[in-house]
Amino acid sequence: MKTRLPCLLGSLICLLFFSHHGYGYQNTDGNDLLLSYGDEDFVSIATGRKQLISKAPATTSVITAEEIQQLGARDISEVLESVPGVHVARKAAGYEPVYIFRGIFSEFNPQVLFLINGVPTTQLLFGNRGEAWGGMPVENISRIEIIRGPGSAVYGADAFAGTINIVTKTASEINGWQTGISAGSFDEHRAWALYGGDANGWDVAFSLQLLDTDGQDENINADAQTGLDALFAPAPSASLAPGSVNSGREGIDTRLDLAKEFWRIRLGYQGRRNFETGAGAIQALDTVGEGESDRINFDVTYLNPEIYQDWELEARFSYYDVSTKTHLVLYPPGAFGGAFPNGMIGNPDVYERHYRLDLSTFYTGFEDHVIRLGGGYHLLDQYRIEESKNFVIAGPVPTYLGSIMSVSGAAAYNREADREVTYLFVQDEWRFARDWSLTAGLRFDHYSDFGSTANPRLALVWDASIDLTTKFLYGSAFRAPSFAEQFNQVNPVAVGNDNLDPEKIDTYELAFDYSYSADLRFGLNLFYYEFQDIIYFTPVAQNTGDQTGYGLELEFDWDATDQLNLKGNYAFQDSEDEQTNSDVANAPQHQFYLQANYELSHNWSLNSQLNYVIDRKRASDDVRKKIDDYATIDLTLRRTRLPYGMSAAVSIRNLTNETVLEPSLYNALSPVSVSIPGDLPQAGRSVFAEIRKTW
Amino acid sequence: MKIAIKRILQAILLGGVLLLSLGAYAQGPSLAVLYPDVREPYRSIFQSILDGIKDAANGKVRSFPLRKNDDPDMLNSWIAKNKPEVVISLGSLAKEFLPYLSPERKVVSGAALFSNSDIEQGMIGISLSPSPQKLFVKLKKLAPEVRRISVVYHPDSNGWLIDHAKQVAEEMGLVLAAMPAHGVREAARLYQQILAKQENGFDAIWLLQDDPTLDEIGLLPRLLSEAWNHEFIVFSSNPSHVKRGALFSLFPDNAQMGKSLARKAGLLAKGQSKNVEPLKDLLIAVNIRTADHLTLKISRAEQRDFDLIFPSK
Repeated sequence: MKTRLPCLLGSLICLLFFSHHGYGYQNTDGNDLLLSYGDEDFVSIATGRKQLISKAPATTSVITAEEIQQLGARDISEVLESVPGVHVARKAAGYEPVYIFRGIFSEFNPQVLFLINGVPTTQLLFGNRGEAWGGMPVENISRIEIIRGPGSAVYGADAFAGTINIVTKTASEINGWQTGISAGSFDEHRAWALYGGDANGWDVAFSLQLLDTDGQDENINADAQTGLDALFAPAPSASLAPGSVNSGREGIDTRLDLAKEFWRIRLGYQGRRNFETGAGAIQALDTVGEGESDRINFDVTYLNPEIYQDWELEARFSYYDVSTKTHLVLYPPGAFGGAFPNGMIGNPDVYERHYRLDLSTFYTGFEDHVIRLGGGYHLLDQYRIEESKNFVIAGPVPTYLGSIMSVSGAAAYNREADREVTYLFVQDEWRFARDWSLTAGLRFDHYSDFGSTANPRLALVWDASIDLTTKFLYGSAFRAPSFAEQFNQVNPVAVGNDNLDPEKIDTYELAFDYSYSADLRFGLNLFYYEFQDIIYFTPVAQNTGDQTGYGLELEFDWDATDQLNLKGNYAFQDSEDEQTNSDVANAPQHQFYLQANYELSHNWSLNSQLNYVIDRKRASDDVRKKIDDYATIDLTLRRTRLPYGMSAAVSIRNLTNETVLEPSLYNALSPVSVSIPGDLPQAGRSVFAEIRKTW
Repeated sequence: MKIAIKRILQAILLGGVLLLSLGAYAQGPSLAVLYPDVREPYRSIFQSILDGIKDAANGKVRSFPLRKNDDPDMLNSWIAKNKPEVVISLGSLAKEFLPYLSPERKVVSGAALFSNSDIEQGMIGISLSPSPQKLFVKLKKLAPEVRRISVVYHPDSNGWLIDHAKQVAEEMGLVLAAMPAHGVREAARLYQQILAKQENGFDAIWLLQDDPTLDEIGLLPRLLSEAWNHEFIVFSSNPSHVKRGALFSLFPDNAQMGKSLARKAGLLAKGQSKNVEPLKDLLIAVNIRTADHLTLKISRAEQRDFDLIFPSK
């Protein structure tokens, strides 16, 4: 690794040299156009879409469709890694992505709020995006908005460590048909079709994206069963380790977006099939098990910017239906001294329906004030729990039931329950002096299961000069206890407690945005947070944890030449577990990211990115040596303006075949505290090619 | 029953024939559009304009992608073969080929800037320069107190535009302090004078698009910085200036511009509309941060009408 970084920097310097000395693309056509159409800046601005006014002027990063395509990204996880202060890790079960913001890490990752077009995708069971999901494809994404830090004053629950909002493309952005196919490593095949047009006065946007992949197959040398095999020796080993992780899946993502005047109707479906188990549902490799999920969303939005003088109203009804079915071989055939000849099988299913009514108004009748008021009612219903299994836990070792039996009610892993949320919020953005504005907001939520919470925010913004904006931000947020934490049954190592309080966080931040020139922009963020009432299974769920952290993010964006854009960031965080007085585990303390996008010529462009993840600590009692840092390089080469409206690209991920590991968990309560000592291996070098066509 | 259906069918047929013949009367001139064969992001612009032309044209539209080293004879033989009534040339590259066309050929030029000499030579078209009338109307909407607009310009490049702007200003009750300059240095001195005599609220500075007297690298950042520090209003014909701190700019709505070019071609075919006009098909870019700094009142409803808003984050 030590030799590679200078190598990349060297090649970037070479590219710069060549472009300055004109060995690169000669801007001949561009020069003619410069005279009449202005420089590229003018042109890309002039062809840009309408800019939307951001709702939460916190520390926001926005990544556009153009940038996503330049990266050669195939899934949102690849895009999110480029955000300063954000690292995408994986959890063992299903290798689902874990979005780590500023040192806040937990296995099920409920502290990040994930929205699609402003509608939460939070599932009740674990408080996260749900299982058998794995991420989502990117072709239909107009932009991704990422807020680092608390957002509960606007978004309510779980906008805690960060908020991710995926905004999908409208009809005018798609403008006709866009199709594409892609194939590559891991027998991955993708195809997509987008349509944007109008019918009967309605703007119609449609998308369909398909995925089929075997997934990467890096090896795990020892798993949870390996530890049990040692305990059950001299019985024959049952473990499937050493063996590869199982990360194959099939996915279909489709959306329909209809808009007319003040109305917008959206319908969407995300289906996942044959979703493999990653490193195993409970960290024992499982080559047979799989999950499937269906997510349906439907929403109707009414937005009238001037429903009455000085009043803007947005009203939305949304419906979200999630069902997840899994068939898991939790421990392989032969486990527990041969007691389970077919393996220990568990098939937990969960079905949820969410109904939401949200109202938001802006009032601008008072001079120098923009007042926001809103409220809503949510009915979130975990309406069905089904489970079948061939075991029961009645002692230190699970008991084989002889066959797979359905369980329900108090014998199932969780129970049917619902949650009603009512909330109100108010916010005032007050321009109290030239170049100064103060935003103060408060949101009050009442939850039928755990009670009420009030979350304020404060933002003081100073436009110090034409080049510099300074912000001071304070925010408080809460993370609602999940249904697993409240209502888990039967599982002796994770027992539900319906008396939990929400987790809380207070964050203070200082942010600077500086334009050194028209082509070079810098950003610096300094933050400090206190994270309290962290819920841990002890084995009963309790609000026992405390964590404080501080850090900084430094980023830049530089149009170095007409052909070359460089951007990068450095993030540092130091978080401490107040109970153990030790560094918080698993979240990287330093991250370094660099991206170069180079227009080689008329039709060719090259994008390269370097991601360097440094210093992920172990839990204080975890005796394993520190997990290796890693640096990966990705390259994407694109050829545009092929005949018939086509373009093609080839992308190499992890060019140097670096060994990339994400940490496996340490469980203090378990007799085998580290189930996968070798950590979770991520993909080695892989190659993908794609062809696109617009009609 | 049978007879009724026959009658209906006859009516439909007659109607169809009528419609077709009406269409024939409404035939517009056949057009040939010359445009530069270039890479993105310019390519999409010309595609948009071309789409606009096709939408508004009532006759046949043929298009020819030009490259820098193309043989003018080849172009002429293509035009001769297609016999368009009017040729539309897009971009400055296409403008360069115009002298090679036969003098009787009717040509409308668009998506380019026009110099004084272009106009003296009798060129016809729609300039990329935003209409001063639309600019001044927008300025008065955003900053109603403004009475005087100062502009520095090169007479050979923008003389015709400024003459036009003077007329418009007079009609609107504004004073246009137009200062000709022949080089960057002379312009710098004039800008200093302008800054010295700016009166808060009553004055605004107008920056032109690609005027040779505006030094974008050295002068512009200092000018915008001075304007920020003293709360002077600067507006521009170039939206990239808005990104850098100018209050607002108007810029081309490409598809609509295409339609206007097609209509102008239609008029030219009938022997009318033989001038160069500034662009009326415009979108607006506003820098909200600058507007707040100048304590201008812009309602959320007005903001929704802006096509581009800076800063974008």
